[in-house]
Amino acid sequence: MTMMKRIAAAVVSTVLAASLAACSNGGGGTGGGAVGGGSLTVAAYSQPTLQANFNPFSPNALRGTMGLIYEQLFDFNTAGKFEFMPSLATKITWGDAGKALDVALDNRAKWADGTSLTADDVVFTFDYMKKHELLALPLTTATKTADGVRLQFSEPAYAIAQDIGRTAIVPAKIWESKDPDTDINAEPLGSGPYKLDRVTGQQASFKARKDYWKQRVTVGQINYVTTSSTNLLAQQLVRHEVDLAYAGIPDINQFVAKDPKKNHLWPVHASMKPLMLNLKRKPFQDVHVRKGLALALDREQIGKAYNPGVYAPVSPTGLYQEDWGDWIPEENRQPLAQDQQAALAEFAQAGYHKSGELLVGPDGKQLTLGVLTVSTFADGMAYATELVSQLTKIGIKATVVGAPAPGYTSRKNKGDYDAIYGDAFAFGSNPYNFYSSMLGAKSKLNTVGWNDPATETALATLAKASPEQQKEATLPLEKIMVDQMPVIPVLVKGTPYMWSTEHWTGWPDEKDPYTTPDPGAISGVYAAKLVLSLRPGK
Amino acid sequence: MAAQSKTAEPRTVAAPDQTPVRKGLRAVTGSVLAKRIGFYLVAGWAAITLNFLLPRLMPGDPASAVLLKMSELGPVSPQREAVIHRLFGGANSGPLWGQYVAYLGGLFRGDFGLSIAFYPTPVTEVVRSGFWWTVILVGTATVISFGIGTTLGVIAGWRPGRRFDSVASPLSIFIHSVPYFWIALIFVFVFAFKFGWLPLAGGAGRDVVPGFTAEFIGSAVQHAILPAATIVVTSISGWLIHMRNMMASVVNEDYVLLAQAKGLAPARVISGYAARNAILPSISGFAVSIGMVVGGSLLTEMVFNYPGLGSLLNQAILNLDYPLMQGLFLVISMTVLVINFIADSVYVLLDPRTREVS
Repeated sequence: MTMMKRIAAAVVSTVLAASLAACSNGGGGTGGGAVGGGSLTVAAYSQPTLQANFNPFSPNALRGTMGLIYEQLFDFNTAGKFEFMPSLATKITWGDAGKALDVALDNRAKWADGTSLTADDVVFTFDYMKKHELLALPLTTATKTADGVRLQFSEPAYAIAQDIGRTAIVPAKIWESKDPDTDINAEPLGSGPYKLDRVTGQQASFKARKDYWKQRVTVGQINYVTTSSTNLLAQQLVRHEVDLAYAGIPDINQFVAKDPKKNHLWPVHASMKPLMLNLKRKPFQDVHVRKGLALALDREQIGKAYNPGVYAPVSPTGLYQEDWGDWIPEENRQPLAQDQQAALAEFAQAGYHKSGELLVGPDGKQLTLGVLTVSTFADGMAYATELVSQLTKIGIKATVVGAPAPGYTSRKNKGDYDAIYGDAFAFGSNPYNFYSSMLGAKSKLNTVGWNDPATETALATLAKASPEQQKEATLPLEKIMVDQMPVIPVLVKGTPYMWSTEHWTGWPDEKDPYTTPDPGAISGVYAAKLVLSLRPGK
Repeated sequence: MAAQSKTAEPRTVAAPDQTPVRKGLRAVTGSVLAKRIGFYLVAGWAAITLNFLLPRLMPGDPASAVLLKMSELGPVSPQREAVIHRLFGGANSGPLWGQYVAYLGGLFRGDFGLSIAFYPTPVTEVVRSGFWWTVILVGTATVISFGIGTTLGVIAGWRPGRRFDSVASPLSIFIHSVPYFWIALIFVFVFAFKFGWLPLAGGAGRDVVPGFTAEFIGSAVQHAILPAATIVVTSISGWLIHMRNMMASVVNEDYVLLAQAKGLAPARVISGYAARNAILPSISGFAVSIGMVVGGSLLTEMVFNYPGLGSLLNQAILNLDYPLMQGLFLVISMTVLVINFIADSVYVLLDPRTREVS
């Protein structure tokens, strides 16, 4: 079985490499859909078929529901300097020690039917979500103010500002009578720059609104298309049938090399992928074993195991030093370097020593470690394989344990593993969600089962910290990460955004990271900012 | 395969017996049809029950699958997790027995529940969206490859060892052993990517709204050529080899020699005497593969991003979408049963020997 898979993978990558290498400027014009002129085509789905669903409260809402059709309140630019990004809201002001948020609304905002989007709609949306148990916020009341709404929370809400901002506002007059759990909202009416054109099963297309309240919309049509295989996606990208994509295609740099003037790759580092050890199993509850493992890894090399340049080594605090540099104390800013001597010294403190080529414990047995990962992700497997090979070099009997996604999840939830290299934790606009999901005693994503009073105290403090105090309040958590290594930070995960300037220019990049080039999977504010900034290419 | 051995050995025909006991027996065996129906009912129930059990043997739960996808995109707050568990946690909760009763009840009402992968779209609607894509594509391709493969097999088997046979047979064995997706990828690379003659992927132009319009049908046909061609190319060889071997053994039968000795035209001997007998096992094989059509060609649909049942099944499995898996498995297994039932019945018409027995 694995042999077959390996052969399959080899075949796929060979054909892919051949197709990238042999491609001759675009081929014929009988591609899947019309591109060029006034349309932007985005490979927004890795699934082969779509079902219409434009319900902004549904987890399965199609891309475009957020950002193109419905607008959210505000966001923070995590690709840049975390600056405030206005959308329906122009300004936010904290009050009552973080328990109240005044949101000033843009009074120009209008629904697609021409009526005004008012504070009543915003209040309705929050009440409606609360009533239907869809609100993932500790909101107590939402009330109208002179220039917008005031949101009152049961506890300081500084840390979840981004979640608040990503609430999509719906028109009260339409949603009053709708059930958010079961309505697919086939004919959405929103306030965003686009209206739904049609869904054909493999594509959802959106037409620009001539009367959008904020500005003129330059991209006439947006097509969000399905692409079920990375092999196919690579061919579509090279042929410029797709303008934007963000899936981990193999040998990604060939895409840029094919046409460096037009093809671009920008990895956005939004999450961290740690090596997580099962703290309920011996000997991983010993901090010296964890430190030994951390020092045995050459992060640079692991990052090169798949598409080089997409993933990057991360500081021992777990925060990415390039984006969060001023949040991290100087001494912890650099990623841990591989140091076999130091690693062996740590292992020695835990009773492990070298016996010939093997690292053996007090019981005379070699240290063994199975690293669980999702076998269907080619990239994840490649990183895990390289990581394991480095642990093997220091004398550990390390193996990759590949399991398909459902098996992976179930083994993870049951605690049936030595180590996991697969889960990533997103940074967000401040480190609270990052640390609380990873280390909080109550978090379901805290797979390793870290349960530490000092961590809980630090998290509680950070949750209540105002934006000015957040840096200070994050330091204790960073110290816990460095000193105790509840999880071992290895790499930041890059989402490889790929675009071509064949049809559109004005994309965000390292030099001008004004937004994440996201089609609305993460945030509608990002998506709207992107499509409203594009200009016809030449 | 059972059908094949049935016809391979000619049956001894019992002499008609007119005793009252025999008559009574014949009244019972006269209800062979009733027996058959009974058998298919039991098989149907077994299939329905397996449909229910199999997805539940998979590890994991739908809510975790949804959460895993969401955590890839951004931080998932504990409150958000609670919302997801409220929406999707119920799909696999409660005692198994209760779920089974609810499932059977739903079947009788034609209610398969709501899909999880496409929540809140009903399963029936999701299945319907993929059904015709698969049936038309794979169905047509199966019929074409059966037709071509069998015809070529007749030609090759009529004169085994001659020039055509010595090229066609080894070649088809070679093609038969090449993995399907490899041929598919090569086809895509050459005809769609390199030369750009045909579209890379999809069921129809992405812009085209499905419906009975010339534009849609034209586009769908254009998109179907490449996937259909790969199915035909890879499955032709199976029919060819099978037919060739049957034919090669039939041409030595006495009745074929007699027909030739009587001076009948070779074309008539081939079609009316040799091929007619040689094709019988292929017919039951054909029935099985027509039944399998609905199961879709998972690999074809994956390579070509085709919006059929295979793609849906793949999505259902990845999302641990039990209701959708149940719906798809049911459609697949029921089609196999129904087609087999029809084939069983039609067989009697094709093979005079089976008529004599009764």
